[in-house]
Amino acid sequence: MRDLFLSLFMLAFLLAGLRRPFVWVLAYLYVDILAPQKISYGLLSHVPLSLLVFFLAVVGWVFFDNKVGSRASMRQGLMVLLLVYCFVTTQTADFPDPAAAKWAWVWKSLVFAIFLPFTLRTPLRIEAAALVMVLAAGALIIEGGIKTLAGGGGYGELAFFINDNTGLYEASTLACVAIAIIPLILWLGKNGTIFPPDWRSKLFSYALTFSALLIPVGTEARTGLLCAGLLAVLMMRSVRYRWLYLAGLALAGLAVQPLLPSSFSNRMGTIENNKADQSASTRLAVWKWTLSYAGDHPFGGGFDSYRGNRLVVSTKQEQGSGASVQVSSNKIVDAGRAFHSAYFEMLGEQGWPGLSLWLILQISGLLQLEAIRRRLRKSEKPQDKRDADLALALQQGHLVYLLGAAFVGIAYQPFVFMLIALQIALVQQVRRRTEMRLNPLARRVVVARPRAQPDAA
Amino acid sequence: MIDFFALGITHALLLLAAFRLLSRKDLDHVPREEQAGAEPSHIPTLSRHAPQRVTPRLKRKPGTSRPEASHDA
Repeated sequence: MRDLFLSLFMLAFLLAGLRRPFVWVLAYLYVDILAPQKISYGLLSHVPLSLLVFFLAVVGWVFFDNKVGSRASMRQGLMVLLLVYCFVTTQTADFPDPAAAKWAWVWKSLVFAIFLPFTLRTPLRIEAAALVMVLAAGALIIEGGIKTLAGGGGYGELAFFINDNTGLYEASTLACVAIAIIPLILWLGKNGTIFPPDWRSKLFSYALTFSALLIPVGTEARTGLLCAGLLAVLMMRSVRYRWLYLAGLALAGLAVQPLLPSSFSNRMGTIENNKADQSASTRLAVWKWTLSYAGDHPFGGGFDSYRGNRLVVSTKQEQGSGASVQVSSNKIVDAGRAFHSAYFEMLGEQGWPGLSLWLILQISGLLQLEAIRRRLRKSEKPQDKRDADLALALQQGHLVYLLGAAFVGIAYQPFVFMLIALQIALVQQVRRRTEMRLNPLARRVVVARPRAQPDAA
Repeated sequence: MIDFFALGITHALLLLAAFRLLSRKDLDHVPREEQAGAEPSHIPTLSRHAPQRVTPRLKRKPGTSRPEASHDA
């Protein structure tokens, strides 16, 4: 039944692309995020769906799309450099086979992120791409949110459509991304034109936001809680009545506290007291190892270079209170522990040059979005207000991602690169429209077009 | 049941969105008022960096004259 439903859905989506080839680009976003070929056990699982929609998306753009005014951006150039650099490190990787396996999906993620901004030429296309990304991730978020409400959560226990630990199906990744897209969900509910902002779309956006907030609870991912905390602070830039918002947050926090599962509260408590928690101690040990490894391998060890680590982790647990406190120490030997941080992932795999490229890519986006927001926020034109709000939503989401990425190895997460592509497209569109230049000293010169002369009688 | 609900609602919205996009003319073309070269949106003027409009004097081709204003008969 599920297979038939997904197959018919894909068929309808691809047929729609025959009329508007841009829909194939949206189809690729959907397939890459949700991976319906993995959810389906029938027809779709035997079709190279990802390759097919990628091919259609590119062919549709090459042959049927208007490319007038298309311009490559600095950030796309950075992604090209990163792509080439990752290719080089893969050839000399410490662990060639795992490196090749990771490269097999990383290059696709980067290539599509480089390509996507060329297709997002109009405001509607940006909105459509954002909507498809939100709805595709929303399938997982809604499922996880309902199961959490029904008491089905737990660390490593919240089940999604498939038992897969890749992409958004990985709990910590989903917790981070779910929180990161909340500003985008709210922007679509308030500014959408595909689904105009009536009571239905606002209700759906609020319900989806609530589900997204439940994901850290259901997955018991500490990263999710930290991301939610940061988002709560960042949202103060978006809300009109800040004191009311703070009061509402405080009340909501007090009201929710008794309803949270005790396993969740216990796990979140280890954020402060990590000495007894093995996973936190191991994480710190991996990071120390990575810094030392980068000292010996400044250009990185290729993908999955963490496999070379061997760690000795000490944990300390205190039992009892007052005068009779018993302290027990344990030493655990571990090997091949993953980086658990995008920053250390980049450092260990691509070295200082790779980490620098990646950081410039992230930070330049934040700065460009801030520049757009500042330029457009006082404008009276509706499109400018929309774009200013979208720039803020994307910026908030990106900041949340950068915090979550400190604790989850999601440096090459395809969803995040799609968000980067949205940012690039928005910046380019606003520049094209307002003829804004990066150099504030540049003058804009408008030359009047000569009036056509009448023919002499 | 939960899986079907989550998949059902999101995929129904995706299909509806795709259907609505098919009839949108602004999917492939930027609306006229937003095209480059049209009157730009209001940008706050900054003292030194305000964009300046320069309209140069046009050179007329020799032998051509300005069209005379029409008079009512």
